[in-house]
Amino acid sequence: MSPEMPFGKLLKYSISLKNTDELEKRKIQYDLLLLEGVLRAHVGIDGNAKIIAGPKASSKEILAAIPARHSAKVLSKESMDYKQLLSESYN
Amino acid sequence: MQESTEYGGDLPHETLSVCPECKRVLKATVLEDEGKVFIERECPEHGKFKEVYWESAAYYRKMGKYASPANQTLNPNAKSAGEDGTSCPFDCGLCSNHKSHTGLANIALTNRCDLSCWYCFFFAKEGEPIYEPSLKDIDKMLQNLKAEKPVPANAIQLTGGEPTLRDDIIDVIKLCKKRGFEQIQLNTTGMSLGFKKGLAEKVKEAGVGIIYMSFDGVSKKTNPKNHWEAPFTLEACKKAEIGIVLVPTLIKGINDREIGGIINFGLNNIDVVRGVNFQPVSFVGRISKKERDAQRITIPKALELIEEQTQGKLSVEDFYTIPSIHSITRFVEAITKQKQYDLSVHFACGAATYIFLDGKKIIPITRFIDVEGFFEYLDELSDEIEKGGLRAITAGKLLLNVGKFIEKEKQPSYLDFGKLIVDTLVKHDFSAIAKIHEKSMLIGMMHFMDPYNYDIERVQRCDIHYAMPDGRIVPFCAFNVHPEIYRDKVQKQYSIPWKQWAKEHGGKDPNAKYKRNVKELEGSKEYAKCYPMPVDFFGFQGGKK
Repeated sequence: MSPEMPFGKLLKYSISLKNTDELEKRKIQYDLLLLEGVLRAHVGIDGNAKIIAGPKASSKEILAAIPARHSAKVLSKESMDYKQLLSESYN
Repeated sequence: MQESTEYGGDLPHETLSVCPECKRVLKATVLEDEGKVFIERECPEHGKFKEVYWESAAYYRKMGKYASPANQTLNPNAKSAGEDGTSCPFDCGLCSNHKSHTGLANIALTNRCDLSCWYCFFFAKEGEPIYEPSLKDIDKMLQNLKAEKPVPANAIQLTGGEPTLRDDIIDVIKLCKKRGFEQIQLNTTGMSLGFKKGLAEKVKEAGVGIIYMSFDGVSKKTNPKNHWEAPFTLEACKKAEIGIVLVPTLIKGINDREIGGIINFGLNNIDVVRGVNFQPVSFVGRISKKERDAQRITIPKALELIEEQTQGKLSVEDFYTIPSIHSITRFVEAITKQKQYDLSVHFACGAATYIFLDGKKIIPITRFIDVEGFFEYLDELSDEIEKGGLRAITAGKLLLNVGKFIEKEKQPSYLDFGKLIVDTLVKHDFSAIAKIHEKSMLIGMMHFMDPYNYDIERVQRCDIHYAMPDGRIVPFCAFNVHPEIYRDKVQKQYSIPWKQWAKEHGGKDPNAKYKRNVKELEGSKEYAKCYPMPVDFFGFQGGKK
């Protein structure tokens, strides 16, 4: 059977971005989601990216996925449980 | 009163699409060109893309009249969306911007399959990880779907790979039943049901009413998947009283000459075939413009071919777009004062009609009911109630006037359709509908998108949703068109290595394949009952005039 809890600890990143318009935000979000270790990525109306990543994704890899013109900078990084992500995702 | 729909619009109109190469979201235009509808956009990196959207602008306009208002889930579970801007189609979960509640939920039970069809992209090949969610995870997904408000999911399709390969398939079906799903379907090749003695009965007893069975043509060439085996599935399902919906994938130049033949096959087996649901091809992976043009078929063309190949016994005019039934939903909501199950999908996603068999005569529902007039009348009655009219009086009006929309002499001899409408809409008695099933078939069409014809307005309206074990509920055309961020990605997270699966299953081969004995199958009485088809309703066999 498939594992019911494929991850334990996760990392939640907040990343500031510059020079983004509405459609560019979506491209950044898509490119981040392509990373194997990224479980959730969202670029908000405030221009910041919120990323939830498993142990396979490093902040270096995440920043490298964002084009340099957006001057991506990690604002915060905190730990969370996969269980918490599940409880937030389920109704 | 025309309710606001906030999508579509006359041609040309603006929408959003994606670049088929890099998936960048792009502003796009849906426009008319030489009588056809195209979707056009330009990627700064990969250039211009112009793809056929619908083959008839006139039919697009006609069906566009039936665009219905949103009927969304009020407790979306993609929390980041809405409050913080939504990035459709990359925030699915469902998000607060999604316009339809779950009409049909899908749960993929396994990626194992005992066939390896060349055109299928979704089965584990030798050595690849196996995805098989546990009963506990399946239960969580079911409860998640049932938690949608105000309209919880009520119909579920268990799919795969081949779902019947799971040893605990009966337990899974029972779980769906336990969680309150009223319609449980299996999406299957049908082979296990046809060949494993007693399985069809067990599946029925556990709660499955309908199977969706791939059936791409009436000849060996067009249906290499289950041409020889389908007759056995039909027999087993007939005996177990499970209905079958035939699901042909339509590809221009491959099986589009057999559309009439497939309907003919359904009619020949109307005691077990409840419908034919054609799916015009959607292209996965990179495919050249030349190949797409050669194989692309969309709803209007497929309907034209139905008319041609059934000699007009079924015509384009007999079909209506899926959201046209919103008038019925709206009336029932007005009468019951409760939010109802609605099909608020985009009008370009699908079309359907009902046909009845009366002796050897085929009667589409539109030939004895003034569908448009009836929908308009229902809207008038709904307006009355919404403006404060008394529900009992309005229901009485329907009772008195419903007959005006029915040509009694043209309806099937065994039907009193006026009574059936009143029983269903006013008394909510569905027993009469169940009784006519054995003499009727739904002929439907559902065109799933691909990256080339992708319209984000359509995905926002989708009501066929996949539940994933990570808690998200994802629209079909996000799940399958962007598998790299939804389907494949999450299933990989929840997969186990091939060897581990084999070890957990007593050394069983996860890739065990079905072996066909053509001679034996062609010599069977089941095969002889189906081929050649005993009755030729349209004056030709197998689509060849």
